[in-house]
Amino acid sequence: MFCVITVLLATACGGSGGGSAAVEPRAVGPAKGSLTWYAINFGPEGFPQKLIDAFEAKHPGISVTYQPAPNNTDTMRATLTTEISGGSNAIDVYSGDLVWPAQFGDASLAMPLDAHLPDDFWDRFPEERSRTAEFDGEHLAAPLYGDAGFLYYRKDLLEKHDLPVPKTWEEVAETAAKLQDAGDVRYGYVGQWANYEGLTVNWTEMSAAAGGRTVSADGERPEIDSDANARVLGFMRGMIEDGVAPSATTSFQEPQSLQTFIEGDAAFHRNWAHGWGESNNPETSHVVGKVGMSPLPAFEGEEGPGPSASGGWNLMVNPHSDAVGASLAFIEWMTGPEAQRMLAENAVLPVLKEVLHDEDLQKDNPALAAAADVPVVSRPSDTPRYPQVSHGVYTNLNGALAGSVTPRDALEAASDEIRRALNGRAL
Amino acid sequence: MSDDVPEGTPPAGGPPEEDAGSTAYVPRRVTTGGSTTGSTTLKAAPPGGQGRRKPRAGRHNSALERRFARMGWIFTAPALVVVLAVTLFPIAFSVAMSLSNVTVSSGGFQLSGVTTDNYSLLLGSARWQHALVFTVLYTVGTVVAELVLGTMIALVLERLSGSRGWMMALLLLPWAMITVVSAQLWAYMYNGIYGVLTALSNGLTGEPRQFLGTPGPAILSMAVADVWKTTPFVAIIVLAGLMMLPTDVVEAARVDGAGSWTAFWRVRLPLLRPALTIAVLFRILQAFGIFDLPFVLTGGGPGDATESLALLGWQVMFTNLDFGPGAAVAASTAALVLVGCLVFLRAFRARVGDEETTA
Repeated sequence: MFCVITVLLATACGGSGGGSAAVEPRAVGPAKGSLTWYAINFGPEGFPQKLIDAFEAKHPGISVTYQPAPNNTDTMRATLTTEISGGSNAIDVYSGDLVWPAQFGDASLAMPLDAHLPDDFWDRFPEERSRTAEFDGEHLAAPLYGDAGFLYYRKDLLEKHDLPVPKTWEEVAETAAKLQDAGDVRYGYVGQWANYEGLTVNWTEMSAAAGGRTVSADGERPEIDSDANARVLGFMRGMIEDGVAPSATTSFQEPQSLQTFIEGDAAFHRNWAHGWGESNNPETSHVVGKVGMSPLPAFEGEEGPGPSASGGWNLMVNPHSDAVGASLAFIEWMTGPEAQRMLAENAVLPVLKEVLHDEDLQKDNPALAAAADVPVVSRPSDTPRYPQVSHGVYTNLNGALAGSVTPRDALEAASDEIRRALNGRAL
Repeated sequence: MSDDVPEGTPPAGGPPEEDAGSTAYVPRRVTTGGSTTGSTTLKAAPPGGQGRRKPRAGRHNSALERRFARMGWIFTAPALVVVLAVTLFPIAFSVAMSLSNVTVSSGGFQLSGVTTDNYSLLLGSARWQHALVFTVLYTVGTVVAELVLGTMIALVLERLSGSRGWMMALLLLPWAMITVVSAQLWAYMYNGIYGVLTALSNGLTGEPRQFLGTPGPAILSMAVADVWKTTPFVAIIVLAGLMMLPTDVVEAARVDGAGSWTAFWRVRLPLLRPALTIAVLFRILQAFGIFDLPFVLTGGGPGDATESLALLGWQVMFTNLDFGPGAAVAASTAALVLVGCLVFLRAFRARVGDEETTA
């Protein structure tokens, strides 16, 4: 019975071969009609609709429907996969996580864009940001907005004790311990060290700040089991052992670490750019006006500042879309100066170089000013196997941070799992 | 269980044997003395099964009956087709997926060739093995705990008279709550810094305990949330079973000198088996497919400590977009739970049937 069905399906689908072939270029169609944009809300409440209104005012021939996505990256990916692999054209353009292009390109869930956009289109973005949207030499996504990790600190406490803003991770730990000993704050440092993608982000930043890597530059093999990385992981575990970081950090994602910081219970905090607005929101924060933000520290002996993991979202096109022409016009406008300026004015980090470096905008927006110059490090997401690679990183490191294995053993285990992932032999 | 004869037990072959003629419910010592599984049980099963099937053997004798039967099939055919399409097809498709190389292209899923690669990948993966062990142990642990607690609660409820309705309503609250919501509530309580339980442990031991930060406590904390939520379900089913028990058997046992403990162990509990079977069956099915609790509470962490088969299957399928191996996880999980339930049913049914036919 099952065999019969297998055969039927195999023949119905045209059998093997050509499975990895890219989506063929297609007629673009006119830049008018209606399209559906599927995205997780970003910026203030109702912001996507404001962007759409502005777009429609400029393009009267196109109407855009905003379809909100579940506020969880993995759930959104699951929905998109079911829709698009089932051949649905209900969605035309969707927002996609920065780390998706390789995986989505490999699974033919996104339309390659190079054939339809002018070659100089990509010059408007920072080079590294544009590169992360590529897979197999083709752009599968257009950057929409950015994000970067920052160190948030309690300005008031540093001033009180006349301490400088730390430039190295070692100084963060020392300064934090001093503030804790003085009884000014419960915990020294909180980040996102739970068992999920965010730990890979935190790890990528800290590892790079010590000169370490997770995967080799050519993407072929793991390089996580190195001395530099052992130093970093040992340092992270040491923070927990010394009580600088609460042991609960091993179950902290962004909301939990942010809550600890805005309750006034942590001296230092790593978070994305929205941490600035959140810690200065008088409705929820107890530390309004007492917070400073700086680039991330490096490790002693390395050149500072430490790099920020690049984050953010792209726009991608459903290969089954009937409104490719309108979708491309939408992408062109959304990555252009008018929309990107709207982003910057609404506390979302733009990806358009000219807006990112606009000094007038930077004056009112310290996050923008900080993000414009900060060095950037990317997660090793240029392989379709990135989810398994990342899983190999965060599960093993989380175990070491919780104290169930030694840092060295964890790095070795992570290295094994990453190797298997890169060879396509990891679950 | 023990083979000791508890105090007050009537001697074998005593009065209950005589009563047994009139009521089919009085169990014999042989079958109720404990889990004397194995030969007795299995041997007893076939007669019971056949006994039930016998009356059906001689049906559809007349031509008229056969015609009615045919008409019945014709009338139900459309509904059957729908049922097959929505239940059998997805199952068959995922089994087919698990047995072939799956690629996704602009044309949708492509299955090519027949291969066992997906399953060998599974069997060789430490992650899958861990998820399997975790899921099995977690299922056994929580179901046993729920069964014991649920039965105890049901026994108390049975004795209540006026307030039973209120108590039941109260008791059902956790069960009525959507798991995602209750899991989020537990997550707040377990929160490593602001959680109520963390503060409580700080007050009691002088040190804030981390409930979700390390493997052992995380598994336990999750099990507690599960037991909290599903014990009421077990209690209600067992209570229903208790209410249906004939009171005269217990009275008879008392007359024979059985204490309340003996009367419970030797008379009421064995009679409760059908109710317990249903409760356990439902719970095994649910517990084995547990997804929402680890998804909200731990995300499968710390490490892979609380990653269940369902969570793993979802991740492989929809995070890694590995459809072949993902389907293999799903299909093998379904097969495992099916086998588990059949084995359990066989063991339990056999014993019930045993009592019915031999008593």
